[in-house]
Amino acid sequence: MIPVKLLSSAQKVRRRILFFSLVLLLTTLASWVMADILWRGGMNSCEIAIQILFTVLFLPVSLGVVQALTGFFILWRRRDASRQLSLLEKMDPPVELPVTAVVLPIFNEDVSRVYEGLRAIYRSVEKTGNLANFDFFILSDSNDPNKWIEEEMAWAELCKQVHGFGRIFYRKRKIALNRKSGNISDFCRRWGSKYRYMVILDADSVMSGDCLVKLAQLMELQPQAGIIQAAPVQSMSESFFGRVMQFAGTLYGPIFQAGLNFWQADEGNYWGHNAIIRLAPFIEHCALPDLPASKTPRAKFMSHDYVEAALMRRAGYEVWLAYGLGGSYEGGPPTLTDMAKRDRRWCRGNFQHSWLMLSPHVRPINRLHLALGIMSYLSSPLWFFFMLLGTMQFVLASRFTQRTFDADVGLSKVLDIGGNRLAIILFATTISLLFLPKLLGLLLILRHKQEAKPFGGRLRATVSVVLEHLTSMLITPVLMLFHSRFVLGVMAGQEVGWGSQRRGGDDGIEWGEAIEAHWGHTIIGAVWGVLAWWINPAFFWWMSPIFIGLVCSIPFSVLLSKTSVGAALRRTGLFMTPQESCPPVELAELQTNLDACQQHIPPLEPLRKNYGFMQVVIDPYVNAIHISLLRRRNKHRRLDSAYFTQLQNRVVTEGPDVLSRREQMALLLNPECMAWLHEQIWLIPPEKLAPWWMTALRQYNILESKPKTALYL
Amino acid sequence: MDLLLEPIETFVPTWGSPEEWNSAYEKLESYLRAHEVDSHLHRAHITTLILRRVSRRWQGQTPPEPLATLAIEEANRLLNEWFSLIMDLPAGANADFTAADGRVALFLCDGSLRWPYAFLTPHVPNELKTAMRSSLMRAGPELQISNMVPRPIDLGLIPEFADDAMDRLNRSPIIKALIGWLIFLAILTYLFWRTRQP
Repeated sequence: MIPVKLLSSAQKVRRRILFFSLVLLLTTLASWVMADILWRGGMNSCEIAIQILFTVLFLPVSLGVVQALTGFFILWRRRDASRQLSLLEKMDPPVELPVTAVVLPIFNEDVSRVYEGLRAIYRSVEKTGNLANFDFFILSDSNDPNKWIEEEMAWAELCKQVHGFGRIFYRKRKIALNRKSGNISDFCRRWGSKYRYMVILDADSVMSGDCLVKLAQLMELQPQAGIIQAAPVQSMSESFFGRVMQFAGTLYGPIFQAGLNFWQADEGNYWGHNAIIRLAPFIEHCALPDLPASKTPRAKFMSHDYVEAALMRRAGYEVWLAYGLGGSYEGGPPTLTDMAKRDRRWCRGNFQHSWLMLSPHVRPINRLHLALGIMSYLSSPLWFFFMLLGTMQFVLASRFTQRTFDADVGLSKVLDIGGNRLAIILFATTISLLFLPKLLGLLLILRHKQEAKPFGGRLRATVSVVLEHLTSMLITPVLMLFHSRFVLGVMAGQEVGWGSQRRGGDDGIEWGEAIEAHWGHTIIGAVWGVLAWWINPAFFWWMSPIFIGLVCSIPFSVLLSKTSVGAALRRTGLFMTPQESCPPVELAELQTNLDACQQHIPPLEPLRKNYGFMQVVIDPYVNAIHISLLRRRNKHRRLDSAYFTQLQNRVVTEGPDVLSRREQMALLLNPECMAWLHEQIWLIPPEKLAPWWMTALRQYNILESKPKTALYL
Repeated sequence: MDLLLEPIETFVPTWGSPEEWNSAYEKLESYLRAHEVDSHLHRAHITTLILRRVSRRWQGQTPPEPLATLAIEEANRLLNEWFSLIMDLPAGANADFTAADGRVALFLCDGSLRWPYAFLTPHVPNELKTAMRSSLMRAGPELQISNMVPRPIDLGLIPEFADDAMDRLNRSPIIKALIGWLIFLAILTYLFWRTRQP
């Protein structure tokens, strides 16, 4: 097949010159106006610092605005020479597709969500008639014994239900070395050379069969493509916060993606999931090097995706963003605090990229991607510092130096409006620029009634945009303080753990959790507000959106986390997305099955903590499946020692509660121990068993032993 | 009541107390339930059958274990024989793993549900035999090992220098604290100076 190129080098250069010239032009204009406002026959050091910070911070704002404008024009005209999908429209798709591996790395995730998501994907691929072209791998790093057992049984049950043995595979790593990227590397080392492509999913990803087939076809058409990232759309959120984020991502996301694709073209980025990867170059070139600070423990890249994209580019392969492909979905954090927890990891990961910024081996555009990633977090402490300096300047001006903003120089003199008015104009322009991408996203759907309908109709979509803007105004200062703390933490060398994410569920966070997360924000907001009022009431009103967001952060965070509020807003037709109003088959099936999963009777309270351990010891089938899976890996090993004997005896006579997670995992990894335990629990007379086992056996006799898995049955 | 006149082969234990046999019956029944033998009729039938075998085996002897334990042991023996018969396993195979393989095969073909009266009976339907023998649980395809080794990245001079500096800082919390205090003092000095400017 003749390789196709969407853009020539000259076209790419022209696009980038145009794009970045506009970004610089906008930044220069705004900086000029700021300089005029600050200029009073010169600038003091505080004003110089304010000016520098303003310029640095305005640059990403300009970039976002120009990107949104570019994307808007592309989508409005419905013409884009660099659109991946256009390749499939112009050319005949390849008839024969190689087998692609779909890999799903998981770590202590909600098993129902993971497996039902996989079922939806599997069914969708089956409907396209291309099932023979895809193999599915669940790659578990779970270290929670209950999750492990649940995953094994869910895998066996799912395979049985969809006839997926030999097509859906399960691997549990004994040692979760190097987290998610290590898990993927482990897959690559074992089976990577069997496949030409690999699609990486996140635990809450859903991809339609059509999307997967298109991605494989696009790779076949472009042998020079190393990674094609399918833009995921947030979906299935239920909380107030989740639905607002979902609405924003669905409505504004496409224009940003089209704009991003305009300037990055074949030098795009990889976002870690919902992407197809060419395995041979990935194995050869994208093994992650250790961080330079290798003398410290755990010195590994936490955000591996950007680095892998840079390494793929270094190897000479293209990295594309396929926007508008459809059928690519992901979940999002349900609460503000969950988003902050996720951002903490991402912040550290992005800052680790600073090591690569000056590497001669990294291409300039990748360097820009890395810089933008860092800036997305660094901008928060810079904004905070900028506002602190602004406050200080106001204090100095009004209390000590008597310098005010009403001197008539530069633009304010030419326009004859005075410094204060110019400051108001700059403030209003900045706010408008921040709102512009939202307005553009809205305009795109308002032009046709049919396009606005899935968003709740024209009126509701407009109201939703206004409400979303107000919500994000209140959230932004809180995120600014969160991010500032994370950046300081990174600089102080604080470690960030690896945990599973809360991906939905209960009706919001507790007040205690909100107070713990936001008490500092409330105090900072209150003190700052009082100080601003003391300086000048007018200054207070200027800064009030920030103070209000901070002071109200505790109740607002609780309110945002409520699924009941999210449901109420949905009933009124606000924050609707096409995935909610006319859900695609995959999401509809997933939701139905998840609802059915929730009908399962939960185990008795005393057994809940070790339910998986109970199942694997008592249930003959769960025990047999676990042993069979262990034996496949432990063919040549025989673990038998006093250590295991005493662990076994403790479990039988005292119950699993007395064992640590590590001890439980040690037992679960030993097939002989597990066979022995199963036999003994049934053989030993009740008086010699721990009371916990008696309760467990009674529960097994009284209640129906099904479901063994968290799956829809 | 013609039905009562039909010959029924009853099992009446000749040793052990009724409480012991009751407890053995209950435990054995729940063990069979755990094997998803959902038919009450069939469960009662094989429970009685196993208990009768236990009674015969230990007739006239002093049993070394409680009756319930002996019943489960007998059930396990029968299960292994039954699985070996169906799966055509070699004699002398590890009993634990024979049972595990048999159970996995039975689970995968839904044997207990599709053939509710076949469990532990010598007359195994051919369909069940075929289904169990063809049950295959593959957790992964055949390995095809690749070598995935990180390539060194030249980071340039500044990161190398920063690496050393960071390493020294991490090793010396006192220097770290001193730098923090210096920054704080610098800010304080600046504010002091700025508030005294005309």
